[in-house]
Amino acid sequence: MLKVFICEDNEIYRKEVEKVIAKVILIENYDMEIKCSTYNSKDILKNINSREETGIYFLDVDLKEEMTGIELGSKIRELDPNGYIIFITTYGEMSYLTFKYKVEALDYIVKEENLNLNKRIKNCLEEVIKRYSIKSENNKVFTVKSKDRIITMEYDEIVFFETSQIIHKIRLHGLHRQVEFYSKMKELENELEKDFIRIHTSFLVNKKMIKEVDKRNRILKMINGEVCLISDSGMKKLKKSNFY
Amino acid sequence: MNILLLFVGIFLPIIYLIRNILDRREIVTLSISIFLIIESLSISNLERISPLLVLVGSSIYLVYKDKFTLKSINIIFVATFNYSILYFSLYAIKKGVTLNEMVLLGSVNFLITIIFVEGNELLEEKVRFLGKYAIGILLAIYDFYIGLGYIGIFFFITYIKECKKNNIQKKEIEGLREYTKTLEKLNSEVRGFRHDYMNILIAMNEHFKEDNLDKARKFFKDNIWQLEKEISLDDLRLGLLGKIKNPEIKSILINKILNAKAAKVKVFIDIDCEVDYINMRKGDFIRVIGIFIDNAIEGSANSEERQVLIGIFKEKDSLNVIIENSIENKEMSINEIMRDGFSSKGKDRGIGLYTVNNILGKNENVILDTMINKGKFMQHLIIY
Repeated sequence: MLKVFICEDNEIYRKEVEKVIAKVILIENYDMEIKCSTYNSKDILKNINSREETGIYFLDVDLKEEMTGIELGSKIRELDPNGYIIFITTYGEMSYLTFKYKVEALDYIVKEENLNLNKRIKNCLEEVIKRYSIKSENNKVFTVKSKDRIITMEYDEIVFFETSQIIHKIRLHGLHRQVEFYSKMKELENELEKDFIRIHTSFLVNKKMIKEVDKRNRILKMINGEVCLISDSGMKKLKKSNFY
Repeated sequence: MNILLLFVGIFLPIIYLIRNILDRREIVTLSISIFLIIESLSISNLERISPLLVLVGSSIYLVYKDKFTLKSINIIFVATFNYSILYFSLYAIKKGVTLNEMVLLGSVNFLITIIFVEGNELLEEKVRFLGKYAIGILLAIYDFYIGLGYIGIFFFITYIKECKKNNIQKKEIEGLREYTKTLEKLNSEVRGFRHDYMNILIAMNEHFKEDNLDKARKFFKDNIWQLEKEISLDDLRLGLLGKIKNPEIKSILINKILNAKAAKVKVFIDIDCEVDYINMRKGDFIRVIGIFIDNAIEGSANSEERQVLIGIFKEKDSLNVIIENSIENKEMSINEIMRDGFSSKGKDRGIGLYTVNNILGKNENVILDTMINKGKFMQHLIIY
């Protein structure tokens, strides 16, 4: 069961949020309950019990105390790394990037859009449910650490890897994302041996993403329309794996 | 400009080649002239291949011992030498030479070198009757003028550069002026808001005194709610640009934001740190960011939301820049969008991503993360 926490120092607004959340949970029949609704950040931190439950946190950015909502968010992240944080903010104070990249917030609600509160909260909770259920599915995920970033992508999203002009900088071509990171082709090849095939010094492709082998021009057409070069040994490997 | 350069760099050498063929019908001169043309085509590699050419030419000369090979070797040698001097002095002045300038330098240099070598020879022939010393003096004067020509080219290039720079500065000043105007407008709006706000409080207070709740409710809805909407919230966020300490970067952002406004695209700015030092050549950074924002404005112009987000934030070891825009076709794959960026669709777009690729290919410490997520296209630049 998911537990909802609310931290908002304006009492009227907090009651409103509480009311709407309770309504949405009831109507959509979500497996959630409001565990803590307060004006005080300490109450929130005290009530987190992440070993047994995952939290959904609605936090006002501008709390009338020393700690800002964003700092509270970071603390919550430490205690409940899998929790879902939603910030409540005014337009002028809104710092979308801090929410998204530093605290990995799920979403934010802008106070000026008071009339949409119902819809916004509904969207947020819907998204939580969606992500919560995806997490329990067990898809193969590729993870790589590059300096201070961690890049993750499901195998089914990856089309191929390509070397760049710069040594050890590799470009991942995905269906919805293209991202560079520092690594070595050889290491990737060893790690991904089963599902991927190295068809050229510069290309490591996902077997599932191959559309057709163009033998004459020695290029490999991928299902998203991109093409890769094939070397001599690449041709042999493709033949061995029965791609043509 | 490029056509002119090509003319000077290729057409003139070809004339030179034809003249040589008609004149002497020497196979060696022919081959060396062809080499010269190839050379002027690949000017960036001039320093690298000319020693080889001189070597090949010298050995041919040793076998055939004809005058024309010697002359060609002479031309290659002088051209390379002068080109290197021009190149490196230009490089020293502005820390970098563009391809265009290299072509210009190479072709003009080549032309002058031919005039120089041919002219020296011609002069020597024509004034032979004057005696050794007079020839020497005349040649020295001739060479002196050619030398002046070189210096002239050099100053001309610097002059063009200077003009361009002035233009850019003018644009920057315009952008900053516009920015100041917006801030001033905002300031007066806020002051006006404060003024109205007091009046509203007084009026509200009256309604409460009379205990007339209906009137108070209506008043609140008509006035306070309305007032909030009047303040231009987007302008309020423009103040965040103050966190950027580098005037060039600030001015390019201001310019682009004004462009977006003109295109009726909403820009949301989010800068959560002071930006002064960027571990990348400033010119490169500005070009990349400029291209991303231009693409974002263009990409969002057909979308329903018409929104662009420009964000800058710092992580532990990196500076992060995010340019995000809403897109028209939410089903579009990332590959399709990138391909559009490379293709000739739109005026400058094609050149855009190609340039970005080139620049980022030279910067080892910069990572690009491109993503489509929930109907938004995002370029995320990470500079370590």
